Amino acid sequence: MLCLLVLRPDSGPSHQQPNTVLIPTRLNQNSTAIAKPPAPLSDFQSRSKETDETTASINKSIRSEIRGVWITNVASSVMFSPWGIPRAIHQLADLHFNTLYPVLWNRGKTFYHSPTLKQLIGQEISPSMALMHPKEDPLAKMVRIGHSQNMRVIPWFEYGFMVPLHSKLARQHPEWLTTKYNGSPLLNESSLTGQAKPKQNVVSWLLAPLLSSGAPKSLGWLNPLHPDVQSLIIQLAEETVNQYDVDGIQFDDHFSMPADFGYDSYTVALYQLDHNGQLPPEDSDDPDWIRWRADQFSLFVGRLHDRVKESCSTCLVSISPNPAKFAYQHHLQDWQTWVRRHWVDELVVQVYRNDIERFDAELAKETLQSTMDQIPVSIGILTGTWRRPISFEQIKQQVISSRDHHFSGVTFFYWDTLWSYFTPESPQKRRQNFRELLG
Amino acid sequence: MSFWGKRANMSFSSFSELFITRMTPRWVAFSERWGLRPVPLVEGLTVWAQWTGFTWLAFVVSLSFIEVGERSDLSLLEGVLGGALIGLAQWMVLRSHLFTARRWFIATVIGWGTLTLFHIGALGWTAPDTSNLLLRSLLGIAYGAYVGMGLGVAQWFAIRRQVHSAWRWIFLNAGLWSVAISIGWLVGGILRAASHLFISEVFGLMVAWGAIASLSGIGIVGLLYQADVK
Repeated sequence: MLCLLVLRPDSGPSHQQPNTVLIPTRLNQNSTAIAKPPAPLSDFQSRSKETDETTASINKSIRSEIRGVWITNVASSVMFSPWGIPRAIHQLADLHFNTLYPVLWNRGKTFYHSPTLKQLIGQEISPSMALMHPKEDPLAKMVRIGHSQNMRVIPWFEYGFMVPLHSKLARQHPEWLTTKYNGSPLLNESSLTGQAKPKQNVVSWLLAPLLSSGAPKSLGWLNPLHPDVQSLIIQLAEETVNQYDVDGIQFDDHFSMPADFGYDSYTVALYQLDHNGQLPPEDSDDPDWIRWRADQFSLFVGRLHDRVKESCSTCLVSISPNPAKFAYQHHLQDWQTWVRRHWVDELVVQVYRNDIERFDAELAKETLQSTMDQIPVSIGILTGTWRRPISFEQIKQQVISSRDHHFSGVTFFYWDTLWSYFTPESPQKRRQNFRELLG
Repeated sequence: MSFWGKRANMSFSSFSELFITRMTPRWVAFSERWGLRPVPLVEGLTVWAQWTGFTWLAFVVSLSFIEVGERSDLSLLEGVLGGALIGLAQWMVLRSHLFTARRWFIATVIGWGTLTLFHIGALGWTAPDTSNLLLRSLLGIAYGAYVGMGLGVAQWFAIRRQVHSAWRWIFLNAGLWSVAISIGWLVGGILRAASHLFISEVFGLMVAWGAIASLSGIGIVGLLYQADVK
């Protein structure tokens, strides 16, 4: 079993001086600075020695398998009641979970008090969270209670670069959005999954208005290659690791660019700069076009890693993408390169498959096996969504398979479908089953 | 008036006359026998609506504290908590009509607690662990009657001194719980089969509690407005 304490604070090339924004031109080459500096960083409180010692102590305590869970506010009630977070964490601790990945950011809002967003859009925290948690924001609560239960807390950028088009951020900075070839900034479901929207049954159709309340109808994508967008993400990450006693920070499959995007004026100009004025191909799946965008994005990942480590050397940079081939082709995430360059300390690969044979086949792939030799790799297992309930039997099979393949552990998506009303079995029965599985 | 109009009028008139002349004496006799008196419409409806609304809302609020589960999953504390919330809501309606309304609250709490101790679980927050719809209906009838009678006995203690023939509440309660739980479990079972989500059972129980609240509301109005409330 791999130990989790794989930290490489001194690893990875430093691509820039602090507080400058760069337009990278080619992977592995020096970057070219352009005029626009990022907004000044706030005077964050730096992490104390005690804080880092606490983090190290918790990391040390996790010597068995990683048992993580993602906690979000989407289709979830956990953050919408004062007792939701304590109850969730105590139940998780009771069932021997040891890692929390709570949502840090989605839909252009944060779930902690963010000076950066306050400066940018005048809103430092999601209004509903401010109302529900007036004394202590959800992230602070998760960190406090999670650590008291000896759990790691690694906040997660849930939506990554995805934002609602009606959000303050998108309306104030439309130039930050990337577009498809037809010039539209609108994201289709197929952009992410490569598949059409699944059919709903009658009950799902009845539940949809209830569970989708507040869900954005139209989504866009912040351009991950745009310097101001990069600056925003870096600042959010920095202020999180500086302000909170977190054990790391995580970016998922939305920390990417869907393959059919990248035709915005900024990216096109950047491409032309690199290709003697030539326009990018019309075919968004063109291998060279994919490679160029993925490389540009990788440069940003390297910089982000460096900046996080400068702020908190003990904090993990964790990623939770799809399997390598899909992540590269559909999301332009070349995470194998990121791992090779030591920009990633922990990988949680989302293997959301119903068929156990396909699940096993994914786990047996060489890319995952070779990554295991470099960093801790755990398997992201889908415990269901309200549209797609999953039986405990399937979850059990996948956990056993992950153990059989000697991965570092498992992480479940998501809290509400571990044991709740949105599962096929009763919550009590699910808890009992998980207790037996993880006991 | 056209031929059809005349015919329709005659037909309706004949029917209503027949209905009123034949049925009214029976209703009067029934009312006299059970000591019921005519309820002022608005007043009666107000009490019924308050009872129904408060009881149903108390169940909805209870879902924040009590996790719906399958039988034997619920603890004594959850049973008592659920009983307290329902009892509190009903006490708010009864307090201006009954001197012993406080006893109603206590009786409801004790009733739920005792039922939970008897391993039947707090039925109002439980779903059956079978997907067979026929079995669900039959279990609903049986367990509903059992719980309704148990609660009815507890509540009878609270109202027996002030309400004439308060023992009728025991059988009324048993009957309405029987019908309501059976319907709720049936609805929950159908929805769960379609969605594969346990929340279907919660919807089913919401339907059951809607039926319990409205039917027991009719019963309470009848008991409160009978001729010789002490």
